[in-house]
Amino acid sequence: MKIGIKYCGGCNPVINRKRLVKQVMQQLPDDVSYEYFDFNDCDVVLVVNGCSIACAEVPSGKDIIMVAGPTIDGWEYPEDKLADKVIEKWSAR
Amino acid sequence: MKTGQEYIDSLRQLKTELYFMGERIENIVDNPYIRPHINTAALTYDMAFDPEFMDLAVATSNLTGEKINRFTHIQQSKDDMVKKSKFLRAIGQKTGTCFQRCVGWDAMNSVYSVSFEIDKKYGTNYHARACDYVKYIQQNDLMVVGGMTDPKGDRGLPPHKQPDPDLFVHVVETREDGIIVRGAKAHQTGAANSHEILVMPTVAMKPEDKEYAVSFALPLDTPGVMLIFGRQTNDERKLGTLDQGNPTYGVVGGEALVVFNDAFVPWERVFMFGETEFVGMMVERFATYHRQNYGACKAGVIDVLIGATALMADYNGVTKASHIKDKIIEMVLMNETMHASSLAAGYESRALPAGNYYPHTTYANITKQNITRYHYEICRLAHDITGGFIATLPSEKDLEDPVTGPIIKKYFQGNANVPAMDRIKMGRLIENATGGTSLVESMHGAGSPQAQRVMLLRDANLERLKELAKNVCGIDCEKEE
Ligand SMILES: Cc1cc2nc3c(=O)[nH]c(=O)nc-3n(C[C@H](O)[C@H](O)[C@H](O)COP(=O)(O)OP(=O)(O)OC[C@H]3O[C@@H](n4cnc5c(N)ncnc54)[C@H](O)[C@@H]3O)c2cc1C
Repeated sequence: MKIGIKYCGGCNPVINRKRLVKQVMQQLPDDVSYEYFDFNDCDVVLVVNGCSIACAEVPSGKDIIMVAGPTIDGWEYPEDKLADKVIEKWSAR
Repeated sequence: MKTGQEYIDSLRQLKTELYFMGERIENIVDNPYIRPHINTAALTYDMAFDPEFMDLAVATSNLTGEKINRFTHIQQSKDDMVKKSKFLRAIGQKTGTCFQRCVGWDAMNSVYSVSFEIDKKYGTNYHARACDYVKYIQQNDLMVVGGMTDPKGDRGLPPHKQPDPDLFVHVVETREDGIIVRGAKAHQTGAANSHEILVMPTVAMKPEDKEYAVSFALPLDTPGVMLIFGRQTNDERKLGTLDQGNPTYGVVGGEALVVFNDAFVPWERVFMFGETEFVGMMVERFATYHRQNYGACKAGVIDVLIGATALMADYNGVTKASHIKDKIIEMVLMNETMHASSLAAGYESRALPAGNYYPHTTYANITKQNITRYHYEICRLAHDITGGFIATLPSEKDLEDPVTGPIIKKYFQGNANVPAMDRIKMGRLIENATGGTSLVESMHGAGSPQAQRVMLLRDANLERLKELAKNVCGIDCEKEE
C-alpha cells in the first residue's frame, strides 16, 4: 500500500506536522510506502495542514484524510490524539 | 532548482571583489563574518526540496512552465501574493533573521512590469530582455540583489545637481554593444553571497536626470564591480559561537556597498535607459512589493523572539505574573497585526498591465509603517521581560574557563529546573535579535517611515472622505447613491 503525504507550506503551523506524520508512520504496517511528490499511485493521501485554514492543495480524485491544525474533518482533538485519530480513519477505509 | 549545497558550491565559482576590515576577502564562502548569511540563503534553496515547505517554496514559471524556486517567480495571481507572505513567515520562523532573497525577487517583478509599460509607450524591447533575464535566473536558480538605494549625497538635491555626479548610479558612456555605468548602491542585502545585482533608480526624476534613469543587471563578479561589506553590531562575536546568539544564521542580511567603477553592461541587460517619467513608477513598484514583505519575514523572525521571551519568563519563574502575560499578549497583537496587513496586501493585490500581480499599496505601506514602530516596541517588551542580564552577561570564553565558568553558571541560574546554560543561550539570542543592526533594518529597509506616510496620504482619497462626512451631516453636496 502506498500513502501520500501532502503538507501545506507551513507558514505558521499550530501543530507539529512532522511529529504527527512520524507518529502515524510508527503505527502503520511496515509494508506501507510513502510518497511526497506524485500522488498518482497512492491509495490514500494524508493532507497535513498546520492550521485550520487548510490551504494545502488537495490532490483530486483521491481518498483523503485531512488534518487541519488540531482538527480532522472539522472535529477538534488534542494534538497528542491526532495520530490515533488518523489511524482510526485509515483503518475504517 | 538548486539545493542549498549546490548554491554554496556555485558561490565558490564567483570571483566577486569584496573588501572587509581593510582587506580583500578571497574566500567569501568560509569567511566567518559572511558565512551565517550564506547559511540563511542556503535554507531558502533547501526548503524547495522539503515536503514540509514545498507547497510554498515551489512555484510554476509563467515563462517556461517549469517548477522553480518561488524566490525567482513572477507573481501570477492573488494566491501567489498570499503565498509570498506565508512563505516569508515560514522561513523567518526557521532562521530568526533576514534571509535576503526577497529583495531581488521584488526587483524582478518591478522591472518585469515597468519594462512592459515603457515598451508600450516607446516601442522599445526592454520587456523581452527582462523576460529573458528572469528566465535565466529561474533556470539557474540564482540569487539576485535588489539594487535600488543610491548613496544620494545631499538629499535635498536631484541627481544632476549633486556636486559629485556619482552619488547616483549613472551612464557615463554609450557604446554600440552596451553602456558603461558608474556610481554605487548602498546597504545591498545579501550582496556578498549573491550571483547577480538588478539595479533600479532610487528617486523620481525629471528630464535633466536622464543619464541617471537607468535599470540594468550584472553578475556581481563583473570587472569594475566591487563590494565593501558592512559592519554589524557585535560582529566580532562571529569569531566565536555562543555570544552570537544566532550562530548559524546571524543577524539581518549582511549588507554591502556595491560600487560600479565604470562597469560594462551589454544592451540585453539594460531595462530602462533615459525614460525619466517611468522612474517614479519603478521606485513605487519595488517599494510596494517590498513593503508587503515586512509583515511576513519579520513576523516569522518576531515569532522566534516572542518564543524566546516567553521562555525567558519561564526560566526566570515569572510566567504567571499578569503583567508578563499582558506584555506577551501585546507582542503577539503587534506581530499578528503586521502579518494580517501583509496578507491583506496579497489578498487585495491586482494584475498590472504586464500580467503580474502587485500588492495593495495602502496595505503594503501600512505593513511597513507598522514594523518601523512595532519592531522597536516588541524589542522593548522583550528587554523588559528578559531582565538586565542580557546587557551584562560575561563572554563565552569566561563560561568555558574552569575558574569562572562554574561561578557564572551558579549566579546566572534562574528557575532551578532549567540549566543555566539554556538561560544564557536564550539571553544571547534575545540580545542579538533586539540590537542595533536588526532594528535599523526595520526602520529603513524598503524605505524610511516618511516614504510610507506620503503614499498613505496620496491613496487615502481624502476628497471622497470629505464628501462622506458632508453627506452624513446633510451639508449640500452630491448625494451618494
Ligand atoms: C539593513 C538594511 C538593508 C537594506 N537592504 C537594501 C537592499 O537590499 N537594497 C536596497 O536598494 N536598499 C536597501 N536598504 C536601503 C533602504 O531602502 C534605505 O536605507 C532607505 O531607503 C533610506 O535611505 P537612507 O538610508 O539613505 O536614509 P535617508 O534617505 O538619508 O533617510 C534619513 C532620513 O531623512 C529623511 N529624508 C531623506 N530624504 C529626504 C528629503 N528629500 N526630504 C525630506 N526628508 C528626507 C528620511 O525620511 C529619513 O527620516 C537597506 C537598508 C537597511 C538599513
